Amino acid sequence: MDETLNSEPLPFAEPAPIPLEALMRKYQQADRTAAESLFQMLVPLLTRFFLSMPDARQAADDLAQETLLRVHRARHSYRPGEPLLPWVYAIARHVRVDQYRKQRRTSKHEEVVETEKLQAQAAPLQNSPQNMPDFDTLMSYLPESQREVLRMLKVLGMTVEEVARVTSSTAGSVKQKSHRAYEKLRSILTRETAPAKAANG
Amino acid sequence: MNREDFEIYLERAAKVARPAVSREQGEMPAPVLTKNILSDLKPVRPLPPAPILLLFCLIPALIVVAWGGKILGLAGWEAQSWILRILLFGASGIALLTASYSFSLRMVPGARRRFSTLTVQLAAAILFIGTAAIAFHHKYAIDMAAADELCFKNGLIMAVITFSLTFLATRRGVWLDRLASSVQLAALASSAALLVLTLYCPVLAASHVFIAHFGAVGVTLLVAWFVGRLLRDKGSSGVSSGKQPE
Repeated sequence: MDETLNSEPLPFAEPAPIPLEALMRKYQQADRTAAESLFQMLVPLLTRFFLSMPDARQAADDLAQETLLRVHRARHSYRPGEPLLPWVYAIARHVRVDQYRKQRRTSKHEEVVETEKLQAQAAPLQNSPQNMPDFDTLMSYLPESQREVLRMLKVLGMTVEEVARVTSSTAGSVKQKSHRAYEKLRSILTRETAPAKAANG
Repeated sequence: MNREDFEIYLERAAKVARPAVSREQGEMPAPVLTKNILSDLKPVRPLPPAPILLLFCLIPALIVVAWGGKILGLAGWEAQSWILRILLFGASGIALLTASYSFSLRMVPGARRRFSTLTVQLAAAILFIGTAAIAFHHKYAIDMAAADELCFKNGLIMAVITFSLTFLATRRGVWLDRLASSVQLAALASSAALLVLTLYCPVLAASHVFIAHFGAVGVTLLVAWFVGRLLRDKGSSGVSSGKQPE
């Protein structure tokens, strides 16, 4: 992970002469070159999507590949004129959910370990404003639905409309979930950092 | 911590959490996979626009309602007052429309949802149940058990037919969440069954409506829930498209 592409643009993504939607349209018409270009553009986006979800981090590469397989099988369900990324991310989201269910079914013991880990993360925050918790620790205080919405909005930088499409809900519902999550996190942080502030004068 | 400080803090924390993709991870998928995926590349016909998909979901249900009314008769319609007709058919019609809309959205990943369909469906159910509870207080000198059984059976038959026809009409859809899709299709089918029962059943007794009519609705939803759960747990290996794309 020394050589990261977080800040610098990907070499193959430098100029984007053809939008993803146009490539997808050609892919639907069996244009192999367009399909390859589309996959090239989607792989880093999908990998980033799975890396941003703690439960999918370890298998991010495999999940990205699995998503491409499903994208291929479901390619007829993309309707020209619609934005492509919410369509892809909606498939990716279900790949992650399926993987989570599969994992849970096959190894109950691992689930116990995961739960313990989460409980440990949700331990009382250190009440020093300088030593604020990281994003993953904060997320462990929220229910899954709010966590998912907040990750998509803040970490992946999606718009409210995109998150609504990906999670099969309405924009109003996404706004409500994120508002509730903010309020909960703010109250936790206020409660936890107040004693430290008082001690510092 | 005030709102502004919190926003700044959350933005920073999220920025730190933004995953970095390594060069290897950002590269093309393995050539074997690409070769496999693209080896059978054939042109596909995209799904039609949203209004057409809605019609695909709605038309089979409307056909069943018309056919049910024709073979079973319209005694229920004739026994009801105008206000009752508006309330009962309004509620079940809205439930049918909303279930069709919701089901048509489930056919397409990432489809735009304009309103919360569950809220509307619950409101329609409450309106129907409330109307029946308040207005249906007639007593009948008939064998109620036999009447319950007949309506329950008819309701189930109508629901199964609608379910099957709609499933066939929409088989090109991509059902990402099989459980939710199955329940939504059952909601659509049971709304159509409820419309047929309201059209034909002249027994205006709340107990009959709750036991027989809503019994059929409940059983349809329950069976769909079980089947959907089974399918969801069994079929996690791929996109569950009912028909191979052309």
